[in-house]
Amino acid sequence: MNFTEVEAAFFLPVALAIYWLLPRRAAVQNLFLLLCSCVFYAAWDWRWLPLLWVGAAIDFTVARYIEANRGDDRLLRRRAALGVSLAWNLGALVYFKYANFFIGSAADLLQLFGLAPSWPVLQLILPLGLSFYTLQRIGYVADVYLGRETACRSPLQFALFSGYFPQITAGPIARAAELLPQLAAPRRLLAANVARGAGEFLLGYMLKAWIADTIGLRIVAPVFASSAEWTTAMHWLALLGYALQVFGDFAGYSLIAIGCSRLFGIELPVNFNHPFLSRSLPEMWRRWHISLNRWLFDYIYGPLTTSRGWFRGRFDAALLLTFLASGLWHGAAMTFVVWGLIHGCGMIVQRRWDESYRRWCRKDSRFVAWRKSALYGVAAWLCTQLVFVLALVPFNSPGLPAAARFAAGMLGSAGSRTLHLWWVDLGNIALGIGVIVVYHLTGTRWGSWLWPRFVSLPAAVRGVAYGAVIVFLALFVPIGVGTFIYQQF
Amino acid sequence: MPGVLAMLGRAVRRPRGVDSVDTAGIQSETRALFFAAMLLQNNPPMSLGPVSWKSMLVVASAAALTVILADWSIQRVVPTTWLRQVAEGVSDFERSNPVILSLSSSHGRSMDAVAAELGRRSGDPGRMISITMEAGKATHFEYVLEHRLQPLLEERRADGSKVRDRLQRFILLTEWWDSCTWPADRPDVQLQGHAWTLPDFVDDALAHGIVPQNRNYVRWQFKRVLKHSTLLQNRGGIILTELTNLARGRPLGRTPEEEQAFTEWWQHYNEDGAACMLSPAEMQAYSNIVDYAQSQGLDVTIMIFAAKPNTLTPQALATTFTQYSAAMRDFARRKHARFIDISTSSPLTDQDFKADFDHVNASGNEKLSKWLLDGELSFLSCESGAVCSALASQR
Repeated sequence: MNFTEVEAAFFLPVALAIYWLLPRRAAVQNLFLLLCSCVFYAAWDWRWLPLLWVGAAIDFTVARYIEANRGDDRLLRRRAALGVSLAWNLGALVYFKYANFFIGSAADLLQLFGLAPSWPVLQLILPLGLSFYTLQRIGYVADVYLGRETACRSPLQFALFSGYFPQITAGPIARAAELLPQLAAPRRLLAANVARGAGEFLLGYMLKAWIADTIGLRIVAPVFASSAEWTTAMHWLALLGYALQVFGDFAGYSLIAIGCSRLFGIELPVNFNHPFLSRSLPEMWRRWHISLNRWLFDYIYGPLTTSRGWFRGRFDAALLLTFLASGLWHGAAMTFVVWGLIHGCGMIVQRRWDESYRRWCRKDSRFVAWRKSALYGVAAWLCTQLVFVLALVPFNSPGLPAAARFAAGMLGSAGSRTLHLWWVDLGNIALGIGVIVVYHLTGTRWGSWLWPRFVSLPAAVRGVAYGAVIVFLALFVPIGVGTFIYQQF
Repeated sequence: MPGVLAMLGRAVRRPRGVDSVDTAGIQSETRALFFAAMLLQNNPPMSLGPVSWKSMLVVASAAALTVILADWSIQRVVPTTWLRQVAEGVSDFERSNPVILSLSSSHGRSMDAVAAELGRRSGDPGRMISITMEAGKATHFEYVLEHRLQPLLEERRADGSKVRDRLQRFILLTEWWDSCTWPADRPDVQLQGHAWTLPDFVDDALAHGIVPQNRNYVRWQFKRVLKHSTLLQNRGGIILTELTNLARGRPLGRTPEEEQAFTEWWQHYNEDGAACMLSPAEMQAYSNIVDYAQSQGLDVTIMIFAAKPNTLTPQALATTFTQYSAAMRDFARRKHARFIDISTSSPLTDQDFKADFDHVNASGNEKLSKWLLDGELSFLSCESGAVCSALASQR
């Protein structure tokens, strides 16, 4: 099931109505949400539910076992239990997501040595949400292992934590500390939650169904489909459009999931925070897909650089590895590996630059002033956004040769095609981009007054504004929109 | 910076139960976590401030009123009419005891006008029921017959007699494209949305999950629930075009260039029809439909429907239309069914078709129904098989 598809218009109101009519007891509410989650997941394919629930049962048991073996003399047992959980979770992830990638890569490698292995390509379906719920559960077991979390005692709560439907298909990836306490307490129907949840849902729908899909359909898809035919300017336009499309698509999904969950009285972590304001790559990664990046830093970068292994203190290598893992998480293809490499290298350069700059600042206080100047800010912003946008070339290409062709086209294309858009389409796209700009403005000191000013308007005026948005969406968005980009990961 | 330092302080504090504590490396750990803390610092999301149920009710009411008002206003510019689908036809059939049953794709809505005219002439408003199916193909008609109509056709009273005991005739209305199977990449026009009932949807969703094909059912139900809303029925397309035309002071509908381009598209479509029509699966479905109708003792008529004159090029007439007519005539002969072809002989002009060039408009339907009932379908007025046969043979 898809939140922007028509079935959600039947499913959500019915689920919400029943949920809030139920007795206000956590167990009852959790049981109903678990049922909803099963229906939601089964709407994609019920045959994959066992994979979800068996994994949840293993992790629940493993966490309880670790909790029961806290003593210093039982380290091996805890490690063995952690190993079982990692083996199951990573095994499933590797098998379903990466088996063909590794087989293909190994075959390519052998071909370099003159061998021609004829290994079969496995006909595998990637279970919906596997990349997301696996990371969430690994995070939970690791937190229990490290003693940051106590093991959940309720199988029902843990099952819901593992398969909570608003977040199961594409996150946000929640920490156990964020979600489990909420599931342990009964939820109350609050006007603030309903208002904010509905608002987030509407904004998310706008970003996805209107802005992302319009830009994707009108600008990005035609150029990426046959880049050689298009002019250099069109290459750049399509790439910039893709950056906005990915933002609209995934930030839109995240807002829909967060809003939907809030309607059920459960708060999910924020996933996007005005990412296009970022003036450095680290800042970009704490504003873009926040829940994944903090997972990567919690469970890959942090342990690597603080453990007693080779990586200890080798921050550059750890950063590179972390972003390679991020790239591979996005997809089992060399294009994503390259995307991860670009960002890993970018982060290393940024870290080195920051360290050097700190040294310069200590030597000469003028560097401190320059860092605060508008010129430095604009230059840093441009560099950051340029790296982010350029890295999207492999991200949105079917293979490295196609990515190379597209990149070459950005430097100079022999193509002559340009986009001829109807003025209504142009206005529509401009308005969509305007919404993204205004959204980001609200994250700056110049535009921070916008949202509080809107909220302080009389309720009737706000209602008319919301109504106008709904009418606008009905005019511009057909019933049923495309799937979310991140659901494919 | 104080926030970052505070986070740093929290981060370097060892959580309880950590397996290995390496105090010697705390310096590098601090640097690593400092960097991680820099990465993970977060800003609070936008707040709505205090919200009461009363203010929420005002917001929701104002929003709903705005949408309703906009819908009502747009309805004035782009009126919405709900087109009959399988569900309406089956429902009518269930509630009546007709003499004639017509089954077809969406063109069959013209048969509703024929049914109305026939009812007026005979004084029997329920004499004919037409079941029409959006984007239907022969295999789809067969599905409708088997799953939706057959139980009603065979429904019997306690004494064993048929509930719909007046039914004598069955009309199968076709166009050449009804005998082309839809390509697999067009899930939006597949059968499910138009002919299923809820149990059919549930069965399919259980077997395949919710996929584009069975999502059609949900979409149609959603549209059906809000069938009076222009915003919903014409969402995402027509309204926008019409409103911008209005804003530009242009007449509603296409420009002459767009009209010409659309005509040429139809002409090519009709010329290329021979490539896909008479597909074995669709012809088998025709055969099954006719066999079943005859097994129920019904007099079967196969009729090829009218096409818009300016979409018929000499090439289309010489290939697609001639071949389809010949094939269906031969098929009707083999099945001992009556055959009527009005594809090129009807009195309909280009002005009698809707903007889609496919369906007949209200005035065209009025003209067509009178012409048909005065001519080719005059036998529909008679009850007795013998009299009707005589009438038909006179023609």
